[in-house]
Amino acid sequence: MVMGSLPEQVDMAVVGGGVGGYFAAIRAAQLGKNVALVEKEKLGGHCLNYACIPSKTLIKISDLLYEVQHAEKFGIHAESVSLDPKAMYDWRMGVSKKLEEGVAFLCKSNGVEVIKGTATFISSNALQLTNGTTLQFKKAIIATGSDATQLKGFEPGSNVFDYKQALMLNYIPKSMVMIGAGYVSVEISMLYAKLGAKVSIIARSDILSKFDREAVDLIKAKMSELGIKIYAGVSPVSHDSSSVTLSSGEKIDAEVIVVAIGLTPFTEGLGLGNTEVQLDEKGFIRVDNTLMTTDPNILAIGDVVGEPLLAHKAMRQGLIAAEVACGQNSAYDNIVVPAVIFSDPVVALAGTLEGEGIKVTKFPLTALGRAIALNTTNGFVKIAADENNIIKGVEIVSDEADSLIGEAVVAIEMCATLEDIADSIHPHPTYSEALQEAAEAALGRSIHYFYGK
Amino acid sequence: MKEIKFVDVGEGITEGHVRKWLVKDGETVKEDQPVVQVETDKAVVNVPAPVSGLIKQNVPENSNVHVGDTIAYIGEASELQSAATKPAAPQQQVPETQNMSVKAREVMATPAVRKLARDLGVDVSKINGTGPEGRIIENDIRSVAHGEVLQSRPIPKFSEVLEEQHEGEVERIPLSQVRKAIAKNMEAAWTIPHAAHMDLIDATDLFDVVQKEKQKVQEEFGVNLTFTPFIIKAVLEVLKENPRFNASYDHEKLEIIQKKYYHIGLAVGSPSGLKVVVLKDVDKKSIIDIAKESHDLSDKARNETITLDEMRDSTFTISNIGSLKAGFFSVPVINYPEVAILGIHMIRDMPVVKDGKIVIRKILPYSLVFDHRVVDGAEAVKFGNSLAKYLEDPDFLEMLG
Repeated sequence: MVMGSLPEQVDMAVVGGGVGGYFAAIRAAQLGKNVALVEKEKLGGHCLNYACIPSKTLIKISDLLYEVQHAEKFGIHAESVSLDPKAMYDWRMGVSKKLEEGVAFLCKSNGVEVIKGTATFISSNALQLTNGTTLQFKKAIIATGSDATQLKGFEPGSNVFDYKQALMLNYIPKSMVMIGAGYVSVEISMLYAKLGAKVSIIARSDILSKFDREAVDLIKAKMSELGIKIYAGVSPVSHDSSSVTLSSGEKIDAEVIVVAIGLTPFTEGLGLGNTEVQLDEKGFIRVDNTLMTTDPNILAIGDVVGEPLLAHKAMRQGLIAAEVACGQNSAYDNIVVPAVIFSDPVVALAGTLEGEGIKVTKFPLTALGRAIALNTTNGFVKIAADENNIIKGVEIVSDEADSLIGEAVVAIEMCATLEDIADSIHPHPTYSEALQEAAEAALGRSIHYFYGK
Repeated sequence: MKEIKFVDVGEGITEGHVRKWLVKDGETVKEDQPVVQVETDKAVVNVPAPVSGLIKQNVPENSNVHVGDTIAYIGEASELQSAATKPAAPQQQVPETQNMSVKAREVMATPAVRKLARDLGVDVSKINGTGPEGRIIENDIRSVAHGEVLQSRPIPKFSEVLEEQHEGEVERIPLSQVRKAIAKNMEAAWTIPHAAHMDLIDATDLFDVVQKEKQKVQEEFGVNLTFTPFIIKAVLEVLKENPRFNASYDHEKLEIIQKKYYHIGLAVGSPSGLKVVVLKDVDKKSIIDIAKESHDLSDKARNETITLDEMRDSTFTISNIGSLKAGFFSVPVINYPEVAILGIHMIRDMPVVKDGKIVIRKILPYSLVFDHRVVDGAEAVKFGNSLAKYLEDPDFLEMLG
């Protein structure tokens, strides 16, 4: 970490060194500004240290183990395969450390002054830092993100964890109860189930209630295969060191209880009362489409400004806010923010599958050569287009959906048509052909799937 | 109560500049009395009062108005008091990043085009794109930013073509309406493949005729006789023989529009910039009529009182820089969409060889600049030779005199 002489006056102060914050700081420095980045804990924030990156690391390990253990049909018998949770933990922590150091190096290279501590606004022009410095700024960007929402009666304790702690275990619990049924809960449940834990999910209504049911049904089928039990329509009432009691009276084994019921914008202790910054009714900072808050000197980005609470949205907003603060004509006008659930199968969504005049076409992976070869036919691609064949939304449920959705994002942002995708050569044999086939199918000319005459 | 609006004066004019109020706010005016002077791309227009009454000004001097904007109200005092004064006429669109909320979902433009639109202060949500399926393409944004409906040839940004270092003090001067119009016309003319034919005419006889008739014409008609009317008459005869030069070119239909009438444009310098005044139907006018009219029109242009009607529909244009006591050869730019322009230079004494002897003659250098899509060099030479034939023919000149 760069701990040079503490600046007292800067062009720009960025509060929060998560992915949104360091993107903003580096872009502002690229634009010639004198930038200070205040981070209370670790550069890279939740994404690199506690959430996105660690969960993807552990999911890959769990998939590897699970696939090797279930490869008989390929002729692989791996009875003696075993997992060393301590080594897994070391790898996962090592990844975060490496990335955090990378961010620190990038900040240093770009001349961003990183200050460790917390910051409180004392006016619309100054921050009081915990190291005693008063940091005066011309523009400030708030990038404080969010934190796990706590559940009354299930506050973090000896066996109650939030998602961050759940991704830092150096052992595999025998049983795990997930409270909450969003994508975080689904990802953690499936990964620990694959590593051998008996996992239960407590859902108010159903898992992933806001997502396409067809995709969710595939996930639920896989969960059932993994022995994950979903307790739907009930709520947790109490817990002890080894179990959770439900509103139905039922008791579930719980060596570990994970609370993943959502994220709360983090504005505590920021001293926003000393500025013109206003919050909305949900506690998010109000911003316009240039990410300006109601205070002319202060901008805000990422989770703290509202839905969707996703790292890649924060990154884009970080760059825009920095450009706006530097006087450029940037605006947050992206058409789509892709969403990915790293479940099994992986679900990725860009744009919308509903709306007036929008037609949705589905292409199943059972008709895709690559998927058949790899025994991953458990999925599909849906493509939504309007009357002019302009693509409005894409959902991919497939291996590698997380990467494939990028093509759909560009297509939608570029106002591409079904023909644009269908008539572009996609590499064979890959999953990307599924998107091309879906476009062909939407045009009534699929080769590999017969939709009838 | 009536509104005095800035009306559509045709010629594609959408914007004007309120130069001067000719009456005071609250002053009583008569019907048809000019109340305000508005400068457009083409001319300064005096806007008359539609009825008699009290004037209530609605825009300040030196502000811009668009077609349909209310410049003033006119009526009884009581009516005018109740009239809510609208804010000054809408000014040019000012890019306001903060308030320009872009509903990206409804906009058919790529991220790069949306960014360009913001940089150029264009609201993409208000544009109908010319790309496939109505996509807004980069060119559309640039066209709108330049205030044009559509532009087939994008003009590179100033910063792209020229990186000036500005070592000394500079001043940035916004173009006047007339200057803007000239710039636009010149850009349009640039699509014409220009070619030029230049030669000399022995104007000794012409000079003599003008000298001889000058005083008589002045006394009899009160007109200062110059070479111009004779040149116009000669050009008229040449145009009759070479009708391709009395034409315009339709590049879309690939047709030549040959004109059966002869409206001669004369380039005139005015305080606000170059203007082309038009002498209509010169084939039906005498040399004295032409002399008088060209004089009057030139004066009007210089006084900025010329009307739009007096500046349109020329079929062939003459640029006489000889009167500025200058020039030997110049290459005037064709007055788009005409086919040719004749540049006339100063008549001066020159030694020439005539009948094996060196003699001093009055020599008139000229340049005929032509659209090479429509006519070729040989035709231009023929035009020039024919022009010389008339201007060197004492009988022709005497006939006119």
